[in-house]
Amino acid sequence: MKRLKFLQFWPVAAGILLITVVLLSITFLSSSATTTITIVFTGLSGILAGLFLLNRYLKYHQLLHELTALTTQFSNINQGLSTRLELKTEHRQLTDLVTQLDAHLALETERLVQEQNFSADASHELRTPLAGMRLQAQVAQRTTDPQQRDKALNNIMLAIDRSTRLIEQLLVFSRLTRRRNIAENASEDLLALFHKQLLKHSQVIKRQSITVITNLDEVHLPKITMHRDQFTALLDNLIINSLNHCPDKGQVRFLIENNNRNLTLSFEDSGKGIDDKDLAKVLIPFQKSSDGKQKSSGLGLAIAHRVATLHSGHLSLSRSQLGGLKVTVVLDLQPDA
Amino acid sequence: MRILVVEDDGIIGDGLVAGLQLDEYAVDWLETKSAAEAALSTTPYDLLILDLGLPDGSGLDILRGLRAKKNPIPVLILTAYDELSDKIKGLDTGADDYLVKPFDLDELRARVRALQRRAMGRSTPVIEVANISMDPSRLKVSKDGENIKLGPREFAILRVLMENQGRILSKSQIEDKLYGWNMEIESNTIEVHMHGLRKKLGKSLITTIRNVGYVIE
Repeated sequence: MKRLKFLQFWPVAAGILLITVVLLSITFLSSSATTTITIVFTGLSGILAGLFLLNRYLKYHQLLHELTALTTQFSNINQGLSTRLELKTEHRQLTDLVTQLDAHLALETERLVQEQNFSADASHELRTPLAGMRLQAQVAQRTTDPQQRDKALNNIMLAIDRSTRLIEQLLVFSRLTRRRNIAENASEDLLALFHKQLLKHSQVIKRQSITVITNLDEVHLPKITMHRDQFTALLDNLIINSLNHCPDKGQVRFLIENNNRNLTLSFEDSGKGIDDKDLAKVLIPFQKSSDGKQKSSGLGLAIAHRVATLHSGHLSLSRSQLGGLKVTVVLDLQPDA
Repeated sequence: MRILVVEDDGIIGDGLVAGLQLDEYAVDWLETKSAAEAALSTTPYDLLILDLGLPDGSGLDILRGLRAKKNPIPVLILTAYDELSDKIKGLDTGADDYLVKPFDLDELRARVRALQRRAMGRSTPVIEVANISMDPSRLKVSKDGENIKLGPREFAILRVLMENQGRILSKSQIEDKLYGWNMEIESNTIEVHMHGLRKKLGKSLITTIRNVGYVIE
């Protein structure tokens, strides 16, 4: 408060000084009416100027005071004591700043919560194959039955493969950022990429006697600007998802439709499908549908969803005419000039 | 002792069955909540090992259902969630013990023995009846302080009878505690093992109650 009084002194003193000078001028120089009017006018102007200066100073001081309060609130946020700023002020610019900062803080808080949940879910998913590995290793160590030992070792290999797949998917998911997407986009042949990914799974298709219905050989597409690695992940995960849920001797259908303005990719299977209530849930990382076991890492559809969004597209889920799930990806067609 | 394992992960479920069978327990393994609830309503299990995250619901719902019906079966929860609040929730719902994945098989076996001991009202790990002493943790039996070598199945039958000292157990009750669903039982298996036990531990230890069952007094 001492500092406050000291700081208020200068404009007040300036005002008083000005009034004093005006009064002295009246005393010594008032010889005519004109001079008196001029002096009175000058005096009033001086008083008004002093009051104006005083008002500006008080506002300036108020602003400093509010900035100090804002700093204290930021300090509280940094210490985890608070999550948002609250400031009542007459300064519109400061109100706008606080509103924008609060919006940013809310976004950051949400992002942090999402990251924490994702890390917790990821570690939970990793614990399961690790628990399996440890358990089977101890069974292999303790059993005297050679068959049991072989089975346990085989199970350890399966658990290692599952963990490896999960870690690979986590890495893919972590690399799906907009910055990378913008920086590394290039002109690509989508059809060639689709063919290549489908070929990767030919062994599974043959082993499970799955019929693949596709129009990849009939459709004509211009080259498209995309992030090759991200789009490879989208195609791979959606093909795997369809094959994973397709029963032996079942059907999968992969179609591309070129509607000139946009491109529609669809992935269907003749499996059991997903209950309507679970459709939105399965796009969230690590979420299991309630009708059965999760066969994959729990990230496949989430990765495809994120890639579609990063390419200004849209991914939706519905029931396929084949009986199972239909995943549709719609992309704005941006053919290269 | 017959144990029900409810675990939806194939590799962990298989490992639990194999690991617990090392101690000559009869183990049944189910992967869903609905199958577990059906099994618990028809089979008298001595212990339940329960995973919380099941595909068709939470393991805690199974536990709530059991306790609501006043079923005192010892329950050991297995889960990948290690938050203190999760543990408290599990124990407060009626679980007797809690293990976080990944866990040590030997620790699990020790906890199973401890739960079994508590359920039987025993405080000591060694079971003693007359001049026979049994240490389940080391799978050892001694008579008058001298080690007696028993076959795995003989050991399991003796453990069942000693844990139920004074209670007559029918042949089918003994079979229920020794064999899981997937195990084949010969019609005279129990009689053959009883003969072996009497030969090694003395004829007077196990009494046959004709047309009723067996008892260790």
